[in-house]
Amino acid sequence: MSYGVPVPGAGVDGAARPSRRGVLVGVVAVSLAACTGQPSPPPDVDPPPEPDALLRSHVAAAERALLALYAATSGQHPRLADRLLPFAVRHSLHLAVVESSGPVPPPTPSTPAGTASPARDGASPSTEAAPTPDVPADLTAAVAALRDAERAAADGRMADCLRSEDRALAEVLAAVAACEAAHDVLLGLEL
Amino acid sequence: MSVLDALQAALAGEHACVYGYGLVGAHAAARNEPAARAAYESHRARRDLLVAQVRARSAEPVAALPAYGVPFAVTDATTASRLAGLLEERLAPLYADLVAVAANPVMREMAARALVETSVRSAGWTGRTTALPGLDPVPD
Repeated sequence: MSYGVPVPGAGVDGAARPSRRGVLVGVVAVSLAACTGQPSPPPDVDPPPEPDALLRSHVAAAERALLALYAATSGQHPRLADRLLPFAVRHSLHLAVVESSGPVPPPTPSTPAGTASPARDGASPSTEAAPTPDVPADLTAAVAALRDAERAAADGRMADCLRSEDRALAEVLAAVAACEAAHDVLLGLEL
Repeated sequence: MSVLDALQAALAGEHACVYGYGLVGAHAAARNEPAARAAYESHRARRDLLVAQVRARSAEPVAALPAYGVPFAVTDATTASRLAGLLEERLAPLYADLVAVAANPVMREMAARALVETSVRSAGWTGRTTALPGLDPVPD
């Protein structure tokens, strides 16, 4: 069991559901991001390297990879798609919260600096560059792979939390780690 | 919020969890008894750690109340699980606050790991999570 925390064998309520308010916050955050694009640095000064910017970029890439894994798993196993949707929604919210918390440098150094970001239509270069994740043909193995990915993500976000200079970002990353560790439990309970 | 305030708030939350898991343990389903016992021990250990941290700051740790109001009667395995989930969900924001104000990396890590543990237990008892445990409103 991840984190050595014993958990009860069954839940009270069969559905893993995000809070409605949480989903709404995510939708609002994504909508705002779509309207405003990436935060721009002040035009007249070179911004000093912001230590947490690379951290945000790293976390955003990790959340995109998880979203790609959920999408590929739902594609390979359509029976799981409805039950996996709330998990993917929560990862979308993680991505939106991290990306809206401060500057997020582009993941590829070849991207010209200072150019305006195109509309965020989901076809970002990082998404296109990411290889389609392999999904086991066996349904049980596919769920196990999701659980492995969630545990690794929770460990990664915990490490990121401890590296973060900004306290508010550290708090967000601890909460993301907590959600991802809970995902591991919920995938084990329900699927 | 000061570090001391956040430590004291988390300590008060752990006192409530220790009390609450006493009720949970008395009514939990047999298959959940090990989880209830482990949670009780974990909350006691966190409580003792927080007491030491408050004392290290030359302050008097908040004491446990003689009894705590429980929002529903705990009479069977279902209500025991419900109370356990509620205890964990209410504790989470106190540790999230402590992550944000932690005075040093050791304290931040302690608080962040406690937030993860409470979220894992909460998911086990309730079968649900929010996207940002500790930052999202407590459900229900």
